[in-house]
Amino acid sequence: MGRNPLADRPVHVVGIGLHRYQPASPTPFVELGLTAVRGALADSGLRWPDVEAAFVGSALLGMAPGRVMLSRLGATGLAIQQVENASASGSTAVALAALEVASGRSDVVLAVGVDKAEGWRIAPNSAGLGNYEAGTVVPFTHFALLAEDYRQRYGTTAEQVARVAVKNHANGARNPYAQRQKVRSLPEVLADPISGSMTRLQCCPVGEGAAAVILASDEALARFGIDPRRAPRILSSVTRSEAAYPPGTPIDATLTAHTTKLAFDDAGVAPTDLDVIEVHDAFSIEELLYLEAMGFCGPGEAGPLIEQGAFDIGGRCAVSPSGGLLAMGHPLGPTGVGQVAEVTRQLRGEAGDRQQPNARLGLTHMVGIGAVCVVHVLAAST
Amino acid sequence: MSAVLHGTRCPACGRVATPPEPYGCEQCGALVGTLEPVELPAAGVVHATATVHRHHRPEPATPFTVVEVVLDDGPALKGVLVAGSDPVAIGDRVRGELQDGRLMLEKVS
Repeated sequence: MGRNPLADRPVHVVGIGLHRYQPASPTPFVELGLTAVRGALADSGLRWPDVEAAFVGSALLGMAPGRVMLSRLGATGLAIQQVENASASGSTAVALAALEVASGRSDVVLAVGVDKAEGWRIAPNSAGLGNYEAGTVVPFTHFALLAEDYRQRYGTTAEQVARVAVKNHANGARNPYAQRQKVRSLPEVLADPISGSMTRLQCCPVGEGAAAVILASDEALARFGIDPRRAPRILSSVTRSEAAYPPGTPIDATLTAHTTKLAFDDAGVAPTDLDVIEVHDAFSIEELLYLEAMGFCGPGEAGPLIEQGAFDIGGRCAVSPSGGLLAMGHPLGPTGVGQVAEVTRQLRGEAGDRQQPNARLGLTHMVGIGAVCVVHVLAAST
Repeated sequence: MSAVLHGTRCPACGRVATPPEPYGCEQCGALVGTLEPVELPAAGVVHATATVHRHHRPEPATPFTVVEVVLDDGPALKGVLVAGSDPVAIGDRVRGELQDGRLMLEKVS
């Protein structure tokens, strides 16, 4: 990889806004998206005509959702680009928005994720590549297999894995934008098996919603009088895809290890420096796999650490303080943008009863079908 | 029960794929016409298992057990444990055959 463009021209998050993640409803995607964008504009103090470009992340809406939605803020003629990258669509919209600012082309750029859980079309299924599964292996079984392999390798208990969901449901219960807002006990989480040791409450809900962030340059901060303490900086933004790993390699964790390593190197930080992480916890086991893959702790250490509360809000590092995909939800397009919104809230010190004390450095991480992986490292501004 | 699976081997890098690779080598990009056909015995070692309790289709009936197997000749595949097989655990040897395009596996005792 070449030079980190975000090192040359700083990029800040100056506004965040959300529409609550929720089960499928008749609400049009335009209303979901506009709620989030108007929220981000109000949070930033900017006006819509100040926004020079927009990247719209969605995986399921189909062709051209961007302009029809954003034109209802006033059709200013700004650049609009649609971004689809499976579960990482929103993260990729943020990545492209950050590059747009870092390149100097624009000073104020919107990334918005919006989706409705309908009309699934998954290209790899029609790629002409066969397998021998004949429809028996869906994502929860893919991760149930990884969970059994991991638990056998390290002696991790089903209860330790389930603790991920207990923690993230408790966090979601304090997040007004979360789809699931209910504290759950360990016995509740362990009930209702779906596949292997994965239970209903250890699998994320896929619904609908929207999330928006506005990114800006140093020049824009000065021009619009934006308080730099409310404008965390994106230090690095890295996207990678699955390489041809040897048979039996845990793909998602290996891809995560490679991507986060590049993002840490670009940012000049170490994984153990992190105060807050929003991780792709679509299934509980993933949080443990990825914390180890990114080098936050050693192989097999994440299970005992979660039991000790190391990843709670107030612990060594708050992991998925939003509730994560497990509780905040995973409406695809919005998810990665919502992660950046949560880390921004934490780094500003504005997360209320979800606040990780003295949060200075944060990371967002999404994995999408492909597989692809997108990671951002953010730092508090002062 | 035993069967062979059809596959391809890349003479340039050694990558083995099954089902046969239709486009180009995933590891080195070698053109599909250069790939050599191979037959892989459907036998290997269990890498992981998961018993599925909820499924979005009526077939197979739940519960059923998905088995990830690393074939003796390389590739890792997922199949389903046949009804009546002894239970399997990580490290057990299994063998299989294709039924309606699905890899059905049983424990080798």
